[in-house]
Amino acid sequence: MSRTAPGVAILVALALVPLAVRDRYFLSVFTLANLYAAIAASWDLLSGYTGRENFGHAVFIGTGAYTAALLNTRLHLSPVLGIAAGGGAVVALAILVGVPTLRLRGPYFALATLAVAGIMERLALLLWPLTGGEDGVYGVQPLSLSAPTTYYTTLAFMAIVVLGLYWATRSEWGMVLRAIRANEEACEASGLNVTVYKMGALVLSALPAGLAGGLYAHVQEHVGPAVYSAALSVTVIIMTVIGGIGTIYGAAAGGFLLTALGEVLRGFGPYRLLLFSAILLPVILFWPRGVVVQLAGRLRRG
Amino acid sequence: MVDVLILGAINSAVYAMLALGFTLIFGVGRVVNLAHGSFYAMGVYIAYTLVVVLGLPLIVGTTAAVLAVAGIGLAMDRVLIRPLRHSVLAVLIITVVFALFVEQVIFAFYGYTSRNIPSFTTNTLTVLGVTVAGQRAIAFAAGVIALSLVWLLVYRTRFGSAILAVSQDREAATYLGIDVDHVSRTVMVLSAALAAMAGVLVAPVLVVSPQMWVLPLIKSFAVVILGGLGSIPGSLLASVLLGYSETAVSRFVSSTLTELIPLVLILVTLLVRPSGLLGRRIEL
Amino acid sequence: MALLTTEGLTKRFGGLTAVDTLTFAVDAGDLVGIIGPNGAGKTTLFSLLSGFLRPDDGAVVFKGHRISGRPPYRIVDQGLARTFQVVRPFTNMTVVENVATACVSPRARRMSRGRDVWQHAMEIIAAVELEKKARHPVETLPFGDLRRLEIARALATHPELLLLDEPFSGLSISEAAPLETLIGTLAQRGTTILIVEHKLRELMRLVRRVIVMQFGQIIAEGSPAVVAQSPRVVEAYLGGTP
Repeated sequence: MSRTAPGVAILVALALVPLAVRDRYFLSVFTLANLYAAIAASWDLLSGYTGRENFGHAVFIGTGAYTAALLNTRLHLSPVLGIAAGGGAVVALAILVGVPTLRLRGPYFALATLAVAGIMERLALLLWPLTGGEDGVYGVQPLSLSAPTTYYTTLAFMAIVVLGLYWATRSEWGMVLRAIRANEEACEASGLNVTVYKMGALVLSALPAGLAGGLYAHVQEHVGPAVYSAALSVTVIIMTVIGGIGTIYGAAAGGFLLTALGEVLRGFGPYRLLLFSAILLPVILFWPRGVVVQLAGRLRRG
Repeated sequence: MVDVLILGAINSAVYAMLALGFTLIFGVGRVVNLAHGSFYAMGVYIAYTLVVVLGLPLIVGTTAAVLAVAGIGLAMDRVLIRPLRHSVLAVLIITVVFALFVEQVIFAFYGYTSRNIPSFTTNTLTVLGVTVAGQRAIAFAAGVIALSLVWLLVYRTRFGSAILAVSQDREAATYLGIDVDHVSRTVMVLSAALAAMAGVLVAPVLVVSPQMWVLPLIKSFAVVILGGLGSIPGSLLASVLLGYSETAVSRFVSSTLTELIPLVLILVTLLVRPSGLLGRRIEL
Repeated sequence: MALLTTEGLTKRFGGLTAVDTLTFAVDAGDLVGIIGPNGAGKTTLFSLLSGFLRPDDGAVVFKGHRISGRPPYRIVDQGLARTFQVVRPFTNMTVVENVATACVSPRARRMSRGRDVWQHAMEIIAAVELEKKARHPVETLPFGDLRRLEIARALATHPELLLLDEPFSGLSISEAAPLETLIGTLAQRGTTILIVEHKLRELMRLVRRVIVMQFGQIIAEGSPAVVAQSPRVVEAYLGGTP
């Protein structure tokens, strides 16, 4: 069975969703799922391929979101420009954060990124005249008044991100990233400027997250400090871990799975997080390489 | 000024209890346990259940709570961490999900409204002209005793040498006939017990809520990173530094900014000197 | 002008001086062995030459340019490559991917004159006689082949000077012989080679010149025969006065 066939089938299925789902609320869930899938895929690029686990990915989502929201509400910039500006801001931030932190490894890199995200979250609260503090920014222009249009926009975005990142990982550049994960010093000894590659991975990982943040601002029409939260960062990681690290499509699938799970559990009211975590514990324990990836492997062999 | 000295000392003792267990687990098992703050929270809520809801005497209830958390720590290590030892990320994720699970269990029973644990004593002390709540004084005294006992264990007993050996070189320790798994388990139990104890001692004067695992976790990180992952003297030194700097900032500058201190400390340490003040030079 | 010279090269670790004002030269086309008892500073020297360590004092000059203190990838770009004593294959990748990664480097691209990365990699793999295992994951390779892979990665950058760090260690006699042949062939083709080795028999057979180190300093230099006779060298290996 060809590698691309399942992917194409899934895309076609996703494209048909608005025809089957008329309820505005459920369509919005799918819309958010698209954004999460793109974000998880972007996280996987850095963490799955260079072995640097970023525990503060929300810092890129949040910066993209706030930039787009503020530019739209204060300066009345169109969503397209605001989101693009958010993307630019995030690239600059990635370089700023990357220069001092990329030489750290393992838990140290995770902690440094966690600390950066934590500081940004506190700042979003402290700088309340700018950011609206706890309440955040309201009145962001919606991406489109038509729910299906919004859905298709996010679907296209997700497809471009996932395909683009997947293609990047299959390239020579992606091969170098995998080599860096395996043994950084041997890469240096092979004549490769490892720092530039890591920085490239960080920037390429940050950009989709920032753009997704901007899209999120215009979909929800509101941005609050939760977009910088550690909870969001950890959620993204869990999505990727559940789906399968190091494959890009695994992460995207994890994004969909977890969003779906969250929705299914919504009916349990205050107990949904309890059930959510209770379900996740055995899943991580029994499928540490990721449910989707392990299942896909079994299907391919069977 | 003197009140900063006294309060800072008390905070430092509490942070030391929290951080010491954390650093031991990392030193011995190279495990970063994101559920460490949950031990703290569980100690408090179990004590609350035993003492306030079931009416057990305070001493009995709190001791039982510490022991219960120690047991939970052992179980968590066995069931969740041990099978995933090969992947740093998997351990990070499963411990954080476990922490979330614990928070939600607590929430299911007790909701988000804050609870009150009775103090051991309502008396107050006056030290150097500063009035100190009796509870805080007891927290300090108990903390110092606990830390001294741990110090003695690690540096004056055979088992302690085993801990240090495993911490230095796990493989070499097995050649010496040390049961590395036994050491890891014991350290985890110790760490959970210390965290629970810290919670139980401090809870009467603090806000108690299901999310109370987050802040102690961040502070433990700050202490352990600043002091050096795996270094016991480092953790003790860093506890003092963090305890005093937070107390001083809260007193002289602003209490809202104190939230930023542990985070900034973590970042600055990692960027300037990742091995911390007294840690081993990490292999970068 | 010598291809490589070190001038007063020094490196300290805390209280220990691993390399002590070391001065020597290597000419183009040389095949030089560096020997010495454990702790003599040989691997530290290699790390200094290849950019993995910065010297505390002194300099390394390669092709007339000062390279000490520069990052490893820049030094490789100039034409100086090394292998590691403990093999470092890129795990979870195949043999050809391992070599192809090195072929992505700027120097490898320049030297391959338009051939694509995979073609280039296969040529290098053929040169070290690993073609049959090109698509195998590195985890399946026996130790001797992993050594060849290390050398293949270094060769991908077409170095003018190749540093081999204990290439024979851990190899059986049947694995060592083809490696000896390979090194000899590389030397014949004009690559300057510096070898650190403990297995004196293989080394002395192979090289034309030997440098003996002890406690970070050079205690003897010359042809293998001369050096083997030197009482100072014998003493260094046997541990000095009883």
